[in-house]
Amino acid sequence: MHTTPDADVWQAWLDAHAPRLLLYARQQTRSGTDAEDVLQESLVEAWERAGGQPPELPLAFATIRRRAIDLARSNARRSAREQADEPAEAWFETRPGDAESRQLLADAMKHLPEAQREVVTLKVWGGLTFQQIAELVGAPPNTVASRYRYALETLRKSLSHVLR
Amino acid sequence: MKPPLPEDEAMEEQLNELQPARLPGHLRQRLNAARFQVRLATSPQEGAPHTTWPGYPWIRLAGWLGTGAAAIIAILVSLREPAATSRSTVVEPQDSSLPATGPGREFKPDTLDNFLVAAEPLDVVVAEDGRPYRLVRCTWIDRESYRDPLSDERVQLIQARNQIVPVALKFY
Repeated sequence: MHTTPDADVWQAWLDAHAPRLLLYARQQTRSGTDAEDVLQESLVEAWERAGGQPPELPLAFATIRRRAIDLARSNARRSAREQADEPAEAWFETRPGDAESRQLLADAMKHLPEAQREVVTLKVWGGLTFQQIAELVGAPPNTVASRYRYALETLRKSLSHVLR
Repeated sequence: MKPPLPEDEAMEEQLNELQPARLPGHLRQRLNAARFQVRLATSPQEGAPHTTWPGYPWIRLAGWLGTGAAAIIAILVSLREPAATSRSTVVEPQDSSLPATGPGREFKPDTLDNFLVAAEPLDVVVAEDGRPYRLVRCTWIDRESYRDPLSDERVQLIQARNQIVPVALKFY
């Protein structure tokens, strides 16, 4: 007989973590549809691995990353045109009256090199340590820390250049 | 590691002011429904009945797949069998993780094929935006192959997977 996770526990965990996991899934995939598929499948797998209990965030992020890579391999022949037809989703909440710098920062995140952007997302919104990120991406911790600092510097330059 | 620089801390504060976008209504419904896809480990004797497909005793299929889906699986596997000169071993997945590896061996993901074998309409739900969606349970067969780059040995994992997809309904 199969059982399912407790509904309240599941809902609370989604409320707390789903937006940041969706952010990461969107960055790891090429379309909104792929991001949603990867996110759903990853959550199911992560909860199964955790024995029906709320999974640790490093496990959830690692599962998303692996499934996104697998999906990219299987979608290799999908035409660029099909992907370009999907509208781009906003990665961050935007509200009228937001400071210009905040909107520019959200845009600058999209232009970071992928490896740097990944570290920033996992560190700032994922709440992972450099050690956890290093294990997840398969790079030495010092490399991860360097990517993070380079990313912050790039973001600073982007903002200072536009707001000058 | 080096302590953070003051300018880095200031940049982090600005980044922390950005909030990841909220889940759209249809995705929230979908993730809520995904709870029922989580299959917690049970022993074969206690879990759903399993069927072995003749000729492929290493394929263990959950009873709910039915004979029709099992036939499709066998046909697909036979059509896509690797060349006679290459070795391949099909293993039963212990769970959805990578197959077990021996000392010094590391299998890397090679190919992934997904086959849709069934689509079953479920209930209609209403999302936060007030629109109705029909939940459809899609049954997939995932065939993942892994390769040891040193020995060129290949291992295949065949797994059944359920996916609940919301389909927007027109209403007047």
